[in-house]
Amino acid sequence: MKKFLCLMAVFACALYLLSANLAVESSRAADGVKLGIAYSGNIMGYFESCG
Amino acid sequence: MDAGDLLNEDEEIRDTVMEAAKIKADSMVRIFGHIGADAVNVGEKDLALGVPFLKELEKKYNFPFVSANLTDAEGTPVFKRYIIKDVAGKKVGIFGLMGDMSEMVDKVQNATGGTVKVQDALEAAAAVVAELSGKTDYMIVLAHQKANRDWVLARRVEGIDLIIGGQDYLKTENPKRAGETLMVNSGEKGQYQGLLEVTLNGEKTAQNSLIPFGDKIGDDPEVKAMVAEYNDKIVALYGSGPDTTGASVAAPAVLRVASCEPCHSEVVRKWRSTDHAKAYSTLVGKSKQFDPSCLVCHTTRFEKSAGFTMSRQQPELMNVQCESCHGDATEHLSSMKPIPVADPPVELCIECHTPDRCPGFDREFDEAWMKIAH
Repeated sequence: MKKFLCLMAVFACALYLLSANLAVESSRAADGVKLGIAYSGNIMGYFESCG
Repeated sequence: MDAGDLLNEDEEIRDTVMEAAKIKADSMVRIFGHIGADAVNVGEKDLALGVPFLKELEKKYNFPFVSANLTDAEGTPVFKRYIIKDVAGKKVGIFGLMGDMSEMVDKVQNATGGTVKVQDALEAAAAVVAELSGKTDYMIVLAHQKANRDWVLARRVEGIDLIIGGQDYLKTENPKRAGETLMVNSGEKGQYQGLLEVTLNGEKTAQNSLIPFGDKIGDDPEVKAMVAEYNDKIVALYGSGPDTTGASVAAPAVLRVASCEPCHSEVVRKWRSTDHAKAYSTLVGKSKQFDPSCLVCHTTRFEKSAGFTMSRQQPELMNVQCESCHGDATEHLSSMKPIPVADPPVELCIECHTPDRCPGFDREFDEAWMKIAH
């Protein structure tokens, strides 16, 4: 029972992390922690073409 | 996260368009807050909006501006120096840097009237890295400086895992590496979203991709609504000019080019067949006819002598007419003095036909020129 509860807790944590809308996200993989780093620069106020 | 110059395109913002620039910056910050930005470095073009305004945005949206080496005259940091994010038990340190070469220092000086100082970038970086030593698992620098300075930073300050660069508009498909430090750039004007996937398995391996924002990527409805709100605010700000109904687009009074026509009828006839002659009308369909950042390339001599101004919005100066390239013809028309720019250089074309707006324009210049040759 204890093992099951621990597994559920880990599962709940993973769900939370996956649902978080973050520019730096992560997930635990078998080979380590993965970070997803979304980046930009020099956008200079641009968000739509003019014509 | 963003490496700087997120909010504004110009190093100096004219008083006549400052309000519009602030509305745009407010919208950008709101959108990036909605997206979930974790850290945004401050560039010199951002500073042109004024530090008080940036601080206002920071407070209004709880926005994560960072800069480790922008200080006031007493040496107090203007923004947070760094941010630490807790990601699945790993600590990610993120700090911002402004380039400290004289060119950049001058730009910051001009943008802030000397109220903001640029401290030594390497010293500031070393100080943050030392302060966060042992407290982070991954260290990211948002560096608003030339790429060659990114190399110097990577070589001289140990402990930085990633430098996200900006300022010279590079884009890197494959990250550069100096020792243990990776360096990436994502181009300009949001043409690409950079995405670096890092695996922390003791070695910190990484895979980079640049995702183009083409038509295949759909609009986020909420962001689209925020952009529409921005357009509405610009219309409300400037839409009381003479062309609010758009009627003048269909039947403009008398274009300035008419003054050229008596002597240059063939040239004007050719011009009427070009896209330059329709430049303004393309804005109307997208409710962009009052947006200064669009009008600068869709009207004649925007906010220059004898040119289109936001305060007057002269219908006769809509479109890209003769004086856009050949200069203010007032004296040429009144006393037959030579036109200021008889043979416009290609650099003039590139001011508007930038790579983001006209990809390949530089390679296909001859073809483009033939469309307007006269």
